[in-house]
Amino acid sequence: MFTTKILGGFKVQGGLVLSVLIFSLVAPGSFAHQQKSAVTRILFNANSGNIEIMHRFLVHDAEHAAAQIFGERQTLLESSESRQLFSSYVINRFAIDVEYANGASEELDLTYVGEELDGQFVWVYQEIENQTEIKAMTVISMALRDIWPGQSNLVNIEKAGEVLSLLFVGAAEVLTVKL
Amino acid sequence: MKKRAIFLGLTILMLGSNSVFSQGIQQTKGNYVDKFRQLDEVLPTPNVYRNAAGAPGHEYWQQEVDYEIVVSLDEENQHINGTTTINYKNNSPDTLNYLWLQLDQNRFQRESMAELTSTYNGSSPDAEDNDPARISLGQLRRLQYMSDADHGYQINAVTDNRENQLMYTVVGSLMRVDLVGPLPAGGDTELVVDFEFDIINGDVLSPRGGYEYFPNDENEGGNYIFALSQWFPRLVAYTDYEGWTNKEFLGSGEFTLEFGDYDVEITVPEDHIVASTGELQNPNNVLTTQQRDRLEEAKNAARPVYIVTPEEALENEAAGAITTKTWHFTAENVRDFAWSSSRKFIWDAKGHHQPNAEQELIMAMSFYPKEGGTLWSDYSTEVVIHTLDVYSRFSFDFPYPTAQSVNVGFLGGMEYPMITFNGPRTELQDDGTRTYSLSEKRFLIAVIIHEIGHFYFPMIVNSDERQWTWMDEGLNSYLDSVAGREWDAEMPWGVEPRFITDYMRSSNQVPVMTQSDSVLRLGPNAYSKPATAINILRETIMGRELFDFAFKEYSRLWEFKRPTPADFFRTMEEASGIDLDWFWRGWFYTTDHVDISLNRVYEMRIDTENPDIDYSRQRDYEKSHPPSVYIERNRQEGLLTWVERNTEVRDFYDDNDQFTVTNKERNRYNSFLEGLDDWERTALDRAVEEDLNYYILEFSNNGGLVMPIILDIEYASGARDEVRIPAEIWRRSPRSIKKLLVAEENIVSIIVDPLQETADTNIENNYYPRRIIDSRIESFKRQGGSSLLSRDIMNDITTEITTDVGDEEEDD
Repeated sequence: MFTTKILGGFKVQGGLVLSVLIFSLVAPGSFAHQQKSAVTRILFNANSGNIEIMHRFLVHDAEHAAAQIFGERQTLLESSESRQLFSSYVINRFAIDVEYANGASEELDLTYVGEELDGQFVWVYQEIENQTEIKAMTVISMALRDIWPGQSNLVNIEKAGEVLSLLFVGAAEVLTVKL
Repeated sequence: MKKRAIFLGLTILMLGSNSVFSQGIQQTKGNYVDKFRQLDEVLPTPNVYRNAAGAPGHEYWQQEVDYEIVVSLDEENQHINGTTTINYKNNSPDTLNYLWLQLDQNRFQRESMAELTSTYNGSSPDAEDNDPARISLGQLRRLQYMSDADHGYQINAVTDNRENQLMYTVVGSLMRVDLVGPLPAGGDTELVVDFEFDIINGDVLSPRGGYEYFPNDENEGGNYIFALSQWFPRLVAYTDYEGWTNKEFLGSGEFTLEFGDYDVEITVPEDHIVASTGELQNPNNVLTTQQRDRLEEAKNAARPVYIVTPEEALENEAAGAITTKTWHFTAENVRDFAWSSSRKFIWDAKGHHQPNAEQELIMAMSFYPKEGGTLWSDYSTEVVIHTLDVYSRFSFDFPYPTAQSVNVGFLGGMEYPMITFNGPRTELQDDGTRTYSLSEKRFLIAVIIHEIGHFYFPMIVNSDERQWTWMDEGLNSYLDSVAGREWDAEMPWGVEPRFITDYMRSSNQVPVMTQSDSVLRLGPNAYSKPATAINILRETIMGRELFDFAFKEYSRLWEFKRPTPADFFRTMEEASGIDLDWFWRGWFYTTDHVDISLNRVYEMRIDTENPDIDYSRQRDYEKSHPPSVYIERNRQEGLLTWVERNTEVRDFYDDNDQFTVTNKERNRYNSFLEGLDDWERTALDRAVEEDLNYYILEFSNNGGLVMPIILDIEYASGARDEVRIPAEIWRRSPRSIKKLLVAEENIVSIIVDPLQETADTNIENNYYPRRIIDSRIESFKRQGGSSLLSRDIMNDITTEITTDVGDEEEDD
């Protein structure tokens, strides 16, 4: 850890640090092959009254990420433990802050539901019961983006047939959308 | 907040001005949108170089650039030294005063546009929460690497063939060479460029080529795998549609190149094995007799034959060499040239035969270090051959003598003519064995198919990668899924329409027709979405026969030529006879998505006009209503009406209701029949006799993208029917339409797009009557929280069977 002086041409305030992430940056490069991208659906499920969060990653990306994060070989298609490890990583890199219609706001305490494989993809599920009308949502989606700068995460918020998208690319870390 | 408001204002302004200036034809009244408007106003005007049918025009031309290169690799310093003699044939009708060359290595200079415009993608520090900014060790290493040494080309001399110095100007990753005199149409000129550069460390910068270092090998100082791509100054393409395609190399947009012949002499350490574009010209100088014999044997082998065995490679990598060897390769009519060199290489080969083709024998070969292991020896060369087999069936015979797959660890996959670099590796276990996961195996097969597929698109069908990534990546991703599903139908591929729906319905995306460097999400935009579109074109819109013919025609017409998107769009229409302008518009020029909703169904029956039939039907209909709750409750309470209490008072109307038919109606019916023409009478008689059911279906198009409507209709008897309505049904009313269906039986339910083949993003409104569709999480829970696929089979298979049933029952 060290105090930063100048980064990208502007001065960072004193006392702030640039902490080093302890894993190596070896993305399975992807020039002429498919680029790194994930999708998260945040679904207001009118039937169940829940907000459902469904994260979709390419299994191959997820496997390499899990190996880097947890420091040993992970096999996502074969091992449910590997998949759960990956899920724990994903849900730790994802958060939703909501602002309710009554002005109150809080971070949603999402419940982990599980994960499953579908073709080339691994899905990670979270949910929470929702009874209060939500005015705005602030989302953090860092999964894989803290490992590979080129990773882009698309978040679709689906409510009553409308889709609002947040795109986590470049320097986007925290994005807010009014519902 | 203020910022946001200003931004929004700007956006609206820009949209407004866009629609004024970019649209030649405008709908200025009402809200009608012509989803089927022909593309004429968008596509470039056909000319003598590219005709209206999407084929090369009668005066089509392209430049030819031949290279003679002498290059040497300095392994110790990871340095390249080369001299290239370029013969440039000006086949254009224009006079050229200068030539542009690409210096792609300059992308790695500190001051390159790519480097200066790369953005910091991490978090900013937060003083309030005392939350630090983050940076990875890899990013730190990159920063250090870039500050330690500058990279890029050192151009030592640019001369003509008489060693006269030529003036040149380096502009970023490009170099303009001023010719001594104008180069007229039909003329040719020669220039010699003497260049050198430090090879990039692939693990640090993740480039398309560079070196990979193995410090732990037995050889003192370790070993390297060198993958040399974009390694020599290459001519920028000069085209009929853009002139010089001299756009700065920023990283995403790949290459626009000319075809030509190559003669390349590569000097490397004596114990290296070189894999290269082209064909080896001096095997006697660089290969042992045994290796040459093995190559001969491989030509007709059933399975790949080792040219260098794993044991020999291990021996090679244990010690270095002092002397050098020169490998001589030639390649005819290729658009680029890449090579790879290492003492670590295991090398296997197998001949692929194309009976009756101009190139009858192709040597499929793989080069990999011990780290590739059996994953490579079992699959790589076989996958290369399988890919050639399938792709040639869909396009043309493979025209080159070799097809190679080289294992380079820092790359996912990258393609050049006749040679590809592919990344997947095995993992060394504690017991010394090497294993790989199922996902890694699938990735290896997928990536080799994909990269070998690029031999066809864009290495032979030479589209402009810097402008339109989708033209090679989209078409190739479509074809790699074809080849992949012919390799193993169980292996999942990405082009299933349902996989693209989340992307397509998102509110944040750009059209497929966007220049490569500006594309927001290259994966879904340039790979999956166009590949899915092409797949839908084949399976749903055109049908396999028409599609395959048209696609083959496109490939054949543009083999060794340079197509643009318009040429592809036009050829596919011309050869199939299908107007696809609406499809190109919807899928490639807009960000619309598919969401077709079946909102309402009306069931009807023909009136016979015969009062004896119609009146009694009306009576039945009246009776079919549920009884009045009020009257029903009165009855339950035992309340008798006046009429029921006074049954002796009766008159005519107690026996005849309002549906009673009199001769007055019958006479009117007879005069109606007499008034009919013969054909009217026949039509009515037949309709009455058949007594069919008539249905009006009301659809809306919620996503904007017009698509065919595919219906699965279920009848009362349980029988089912498929009805396929072409997309043209939307042409006059793109937002909502009605369709009349006639059926013998009563319909009980209708499903739109039952096989989910159109990428419809909302399935719920595809059912009539509506059904409650489980969300992913709901169905996941319904299955008890796990699917069959999620079992840990490799682990579970070692479980011993429980024989003592008594114990188990006790446990319960």
